[in-house]
Amino acid sequence: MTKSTELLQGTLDLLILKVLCLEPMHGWAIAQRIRQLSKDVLRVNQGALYPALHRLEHQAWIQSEWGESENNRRAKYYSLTKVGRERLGAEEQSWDLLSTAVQSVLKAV
Amino acid sequence: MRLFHSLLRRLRWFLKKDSSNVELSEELQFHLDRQTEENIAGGMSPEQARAAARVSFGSVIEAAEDCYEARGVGWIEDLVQDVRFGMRTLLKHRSFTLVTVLTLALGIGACTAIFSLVNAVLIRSLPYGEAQKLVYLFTPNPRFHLPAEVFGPSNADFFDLKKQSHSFAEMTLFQQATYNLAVDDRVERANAAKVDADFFTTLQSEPEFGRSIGIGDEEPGSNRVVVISHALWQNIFGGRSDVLGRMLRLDGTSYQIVGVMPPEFSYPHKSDLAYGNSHIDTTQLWLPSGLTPQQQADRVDSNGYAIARLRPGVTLREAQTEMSTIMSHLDLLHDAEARGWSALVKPFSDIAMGPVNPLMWLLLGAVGFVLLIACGNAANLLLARAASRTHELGVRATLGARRGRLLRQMLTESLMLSGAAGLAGIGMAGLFLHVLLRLDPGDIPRMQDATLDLRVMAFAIAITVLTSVLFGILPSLFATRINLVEFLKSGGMRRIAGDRKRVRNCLAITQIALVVVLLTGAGLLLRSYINVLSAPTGFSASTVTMDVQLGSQFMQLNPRYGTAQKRRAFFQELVDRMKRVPAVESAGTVNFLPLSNGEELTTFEVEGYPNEKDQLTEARKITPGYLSAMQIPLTKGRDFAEDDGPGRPSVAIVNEAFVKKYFGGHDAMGRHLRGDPKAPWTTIVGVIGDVRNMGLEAAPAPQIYYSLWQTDTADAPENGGYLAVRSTLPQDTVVSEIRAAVRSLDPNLAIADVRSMSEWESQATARRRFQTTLLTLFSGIAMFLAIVGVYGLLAYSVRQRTGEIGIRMALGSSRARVVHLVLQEGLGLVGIGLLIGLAAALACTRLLASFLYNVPALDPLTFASVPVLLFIATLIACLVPGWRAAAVDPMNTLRHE
Repeated sequence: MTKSTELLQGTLDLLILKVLCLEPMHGWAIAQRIRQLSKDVLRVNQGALYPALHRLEHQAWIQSEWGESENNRRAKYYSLTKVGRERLGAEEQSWDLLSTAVQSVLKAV
Repeated sequence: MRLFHSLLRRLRWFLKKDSSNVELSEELQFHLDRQTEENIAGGMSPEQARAAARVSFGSVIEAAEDCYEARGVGWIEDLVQDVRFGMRTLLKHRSFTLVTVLTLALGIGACTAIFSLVNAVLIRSLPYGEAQKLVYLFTPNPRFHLPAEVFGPSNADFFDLKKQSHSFAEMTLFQQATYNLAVDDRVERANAAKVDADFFTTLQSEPEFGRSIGIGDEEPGSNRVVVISHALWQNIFGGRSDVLGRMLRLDGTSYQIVGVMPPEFSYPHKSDLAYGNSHIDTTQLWLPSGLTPQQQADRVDSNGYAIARLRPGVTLREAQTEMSTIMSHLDLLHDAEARGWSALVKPFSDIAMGPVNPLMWLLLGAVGFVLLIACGNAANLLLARAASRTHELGVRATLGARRGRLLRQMLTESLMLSGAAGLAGIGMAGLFLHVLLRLDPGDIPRMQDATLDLRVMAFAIAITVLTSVLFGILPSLFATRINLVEFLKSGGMRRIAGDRKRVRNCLAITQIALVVVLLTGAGLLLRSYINVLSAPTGFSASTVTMDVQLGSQFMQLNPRYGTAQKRRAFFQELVDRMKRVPAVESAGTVNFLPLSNGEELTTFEVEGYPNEKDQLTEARKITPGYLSAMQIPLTKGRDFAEDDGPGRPSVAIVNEAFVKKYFGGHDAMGRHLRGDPKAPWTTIVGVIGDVRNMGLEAAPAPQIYYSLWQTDTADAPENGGYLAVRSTLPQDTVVSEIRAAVRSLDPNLAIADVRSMSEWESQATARRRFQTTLLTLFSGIAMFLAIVGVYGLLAYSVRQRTGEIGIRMALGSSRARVVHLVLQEGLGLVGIGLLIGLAAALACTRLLASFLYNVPALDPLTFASVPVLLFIATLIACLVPGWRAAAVDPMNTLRHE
């Protein structure tokens, strides 16, 4: 999704859920937070971010609410639902499984 | 549940779409603004910051679209849009819509009507509980060379089988009988079954009210009770509720009504028994058979029909094995010289529906062809329209419509077309069904019960959807395959893609081929029908006949006619009275009238002929005058005379087939035969022409005629017979004379089957007429559709080629050449279609063989005339567009180029 690092299919969903598990956030902040936390490695394509948010909302993993932003404007805040929290746990587990598997392959050869 | 929630969410989104669009753009705008702020904070100028924010975001519109699709609302909106748009285009092209809808409606309507028939006859469950468990039991004896289904078990065999077998949950034995039913001062013929206490439980049927026949009713003496049918209750008692306990007089004896059966129960129907009583169509009365112990022990006579219900878990084969084993023991109890009795267990449905099965499939197949041809027409029309829509679709594709989206829209349109056609088709099916029931040949079981019920509706909907896919998918696939570069290069001009045209041609060829198959089938059936009609019957068609029964057969005698003398006296008096009516030329009786489906077979031996054991032939008992009343020609010797009575030398008349077979064609006069090896010889005094007794399609069998006055009094009593009257009076007058004569002799006698011999003939050919009419009708519709198809194809092609034709004519081509050009295109297709169709017909007509009479399946006349007929018809269809092409004004077209 950035020039340097392609995000794996489905990884964006995981990142969004993870970031949202701390506090409700609006779209721009989500993109910023991912970027900061990944130390500038992962840059979320903003064009893909919003469809992902809407899809997750449609799946009822996150919910949205209009609120006031840090610069005193109306912004749409997303937060994790109960189902989304469960989903996050499952996604994290499978990610761990995947990354250790890839790691062990890379180390072995 | 999840699906439902998801649908609900989509719907909610769809409904508040406008406000959500505003929200979406606000959300995205916020993102851009926030990014711009961030960029300014990073040191950019406001313009730079805004531009950079846009660049890093990418296309806002695309993101909005994607968000929109992520919500999953798209398809509902698309559907509404498609329907709205489709409605508009279909209404705009009214003639196209009308032709397509009518074509399809014709196909769907015909299919649905035939299916409703098949549904009533074959699919709808019979009102006898688990009807697939019902079986008939027969005890065939191969020594008589007769069909196995002729042999019902004798009483003694039946009761032994019942005691020893374990395969059947219930089994019942019944006989058929007809009665003169008298209520108040009305006399009618009533059809009855004489049943035991297990009859209704075996058929799992219960009375509508009252009770059925119980064990107590079987005791001889206490068996004067009767259960009546719903129809009889309505007709005779006007549906009155106090019918229970009332009395019915049957052949002069009173019976008490104890129950009324529901409307759907009138077992046995004529078609329920392979060799039932020919007088009985449906049963109106059920009486206890009340067999005496002697009758129960009778192992010789077999007049009964046995039906049983398989025990749960018992297969047909197991039942057959068990019954065979038991019968092999019971056979030893029979007379030594008549042994050979075996067992046959046959499913009820084989007897009741087996004979009409092939006809039903034939009709379904033919009507399926019609539907296919209709689909072909619709597909061709749609293809033509798709070609002229290239421009519209091209523009939409250029503006960014995806192929799937265009495809969906085309399919929505074809679904709308077929939906309308389905509705119109169901209406037409009602109409077709009405006509079908009018054509009822009377021997297709439960045909009159055919209705457009739920299952038929489901079928109609299913074929509607199927047709829309069949005729819609191909044009849609072709229409939406758009090469944008090509489209833009051509400047959006209309053009026909070559492969599209090839598809249309293939469709037309297939249609022609299907029509050839249908027409060939119809031609063969027509030829068979004509052959049947022109077969010599052997009797005069204008003779008026009528059936009089003095009492129910076999079991019980009308007390008034207790002796053979009394019965004979009745018929003698009846015939004499008829002969005295002025303008009556001759009158006589016969025990079984030709074509009435009743038959007497007799064992016999011929003097000086190597007789086989138990050889059988058709026999008749007639009175003097019968032959001349029927105008059966006497080729040699004399008719019976009045004084060929009891005590006089016994005489017989035989037909020419008999002379041919047993006397090698030599003179039969004065030769001898006899029915019983111990009896004295009977002298042949006359030879008559052959008469088709068993149907018009069977060659006449050897026949022996005996004089009714001479039949042995100890012989099976003749309870009734047919009166045949030949007169110069109109039929109505003759009939009222006969009625008056019968009434004056005995007012308690009912007469039935009053009709002329031509009506018997018409009934005998009814089934053939039915199938021939339907197949001819279907192939006529199919041919019409195919011609319309070819015409449409060429007319369209001419319209597309107007420019080319104009140029040709400007360059000096004559009008004749232009017509030739169009004809070449059309007739080329027809030619290929004819060839393929003939090949297919050659393969298919073999399946028809069982429906044909005296026509080979590869009848040269049919195979030659079908292509000629079709060629002429399509030639006319080709000439019209040809003339239109020739009328093209070159100047005009060139100006438009």
